[in-house]
Amino acid sequence: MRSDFTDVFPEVPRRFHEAVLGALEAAGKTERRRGVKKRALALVAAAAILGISAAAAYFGGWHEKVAQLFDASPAQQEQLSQEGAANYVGQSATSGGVTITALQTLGDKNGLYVLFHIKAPEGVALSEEDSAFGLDVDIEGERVSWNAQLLPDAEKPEGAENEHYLELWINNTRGADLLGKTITVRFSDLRDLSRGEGGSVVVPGTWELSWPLAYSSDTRRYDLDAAYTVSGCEVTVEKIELTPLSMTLKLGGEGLERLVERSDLNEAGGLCAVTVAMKDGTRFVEGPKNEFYADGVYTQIVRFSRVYDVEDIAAVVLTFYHEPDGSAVTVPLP
Amino acid sequence: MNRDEFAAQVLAAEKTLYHVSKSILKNDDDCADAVQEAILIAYRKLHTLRDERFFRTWLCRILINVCYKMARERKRVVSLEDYMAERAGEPGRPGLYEAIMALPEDMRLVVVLHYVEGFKTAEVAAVLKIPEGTVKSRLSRARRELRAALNEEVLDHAQ
Repeated sequence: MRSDFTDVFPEVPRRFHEAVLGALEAAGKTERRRGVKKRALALVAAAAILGISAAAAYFGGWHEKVAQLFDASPAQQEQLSQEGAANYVGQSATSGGVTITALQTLGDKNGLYVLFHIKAPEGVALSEEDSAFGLDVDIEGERVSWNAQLLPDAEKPEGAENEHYLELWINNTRGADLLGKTITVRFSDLRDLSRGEGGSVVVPGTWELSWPLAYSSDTRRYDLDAAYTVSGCEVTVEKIELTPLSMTLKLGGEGLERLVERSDLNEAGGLCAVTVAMKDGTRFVEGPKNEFYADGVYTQIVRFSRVYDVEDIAAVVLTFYHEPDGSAVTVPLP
Repeated sequence: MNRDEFAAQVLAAEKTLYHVSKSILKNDDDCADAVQEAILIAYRKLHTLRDERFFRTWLCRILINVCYKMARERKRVVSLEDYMAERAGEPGRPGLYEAIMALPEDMRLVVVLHYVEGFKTAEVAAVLKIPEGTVKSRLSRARRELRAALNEEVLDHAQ
C-alpha cells in the first residue's frame, strides 16, 4: 500500500520553505526561553495558594493518582490490594529542597508500575518538556529493563507547578521471580533542559529509594488450542494468560511463520495488535507490548493501560495489520 | 551536531515537516508559523537529542507538539466541512490526498507518518507517544476507511 502514497501531498509551498530558512537563520540567536522568570513567579503564587500535598492523597492503600491513571474502581482497588498487586510504598528522599516520594507500585509477574511524586522548591517549575533527572534502576544489583517518564503536564498536581509525577515501568518479560527482592531507584541532578546548551542543573544531588518488591502472581490461564485462518494462514491460539494488569498470548500453527515473514516483527516489532472486548460491548485497544517469535511460537506480553475485571472480558481481538485486509481474529474466552 | 549540520538535517526533513504540520493544521500559513517555532525549540534543545540517527523522529515530535498547542491557542484548525468546501473550488478530481485529509485526525497523522513519510510503526509510536499497537490498529482502520472512501469516489465518477 505504501507505494500508492508517493507524492500524494502537495509540494512544499514557498512560504513554508522561507519560514524554514528564516528559522534556521534565527537559530542560535535565541538561546534562552523568554518569560521564564515571569512564569516562575506566577508558579510560586499558585503553589502558595493551593498548598496541597499530593503525596498524602491515599485511599484504601491506593494513591488517588494511580487509581485515576488506571481507571480503577473502588472494588478493583480493593481486589488488587488484597491480591498483593497494589502496594503502598510511601518512601521519600530529600536533597537540595527536592523531595521524591515513591507513592505506590502496581504489578504482576510481567512487570511493575511505580508512580513517584516530585516536589521541587517553590519557584522551580517542573514540566514534562523541560525537566529531567538522571535515573538508574536495579534489583539487588542486577540491571533491569525499564522505561520512565514524567506524566503529561495535564496530569500534574493541580495548581502546583513545582510538583510533578514520574512513572516508572519495569519489564519482566522473562518472568523472573522478583518477589521480596529489593529495588533501588537512584535519581540524580534535576536539570532544566530549556536553559542553554546541554540544559543546566537546577538542583544538584542524588535521591536514592529502596524497598522490597511485592506483586501478584495470580493469573487466569486459558489453554485454548483454537485454530483460526488468517489470510489463508493457519494460526493456533495456544494460550492466553490474563491478569487485571497484563496479558500473555502464545500463538503457534503451521501458517504462523508465513504471517511473521509478511509482518515487520523483526524490523519494527509487530505482528498483531490486541483489542480487549468486554462483555458489555466496550472495547479497548491495548499496549504497549513486547513480542517475539522463536522456535515456531509467537509470544506477546501486553501491559494494560487500565485495570480490567478479568471475568468481564468476553474476547481478545487480534488484528493482523500487515495483512492486506487487516485481518482480525476474535478469540472468545470461556 | 553543530549549527550547519542541524540546518542540513532540518532541510532534509523539510518535506516531512510540511506534511506533518499540514495534516494537523491544514492552513499553510499556520504550518509555516509552526515549523518556525519548532525549529527554534529544536535548536535550543538540541543537546537533549541523545542519538542523531533519530533526529527526524525527534524533530517531528517537537513539531507535532507545537501544532497541537497552536491549534488549541488559535483555534484555527479548519473544520472538515470548511476544508472540503475550500478544496471543492480547486481544480482536479478528489483523490487519495483528499481522502487522507478527510480521515479523523488520529488516523490521519499515523497514515502520514507511516505511509507518506515511511516511519516504522515503532517510530510513529515514539513520535506520538502512544502504544505501537494503537498505531497499528489506527493504520488498519485508516486503510479500511481509505478504501471505502476511494471506492465511493470511483462509484461517484462512474455515475
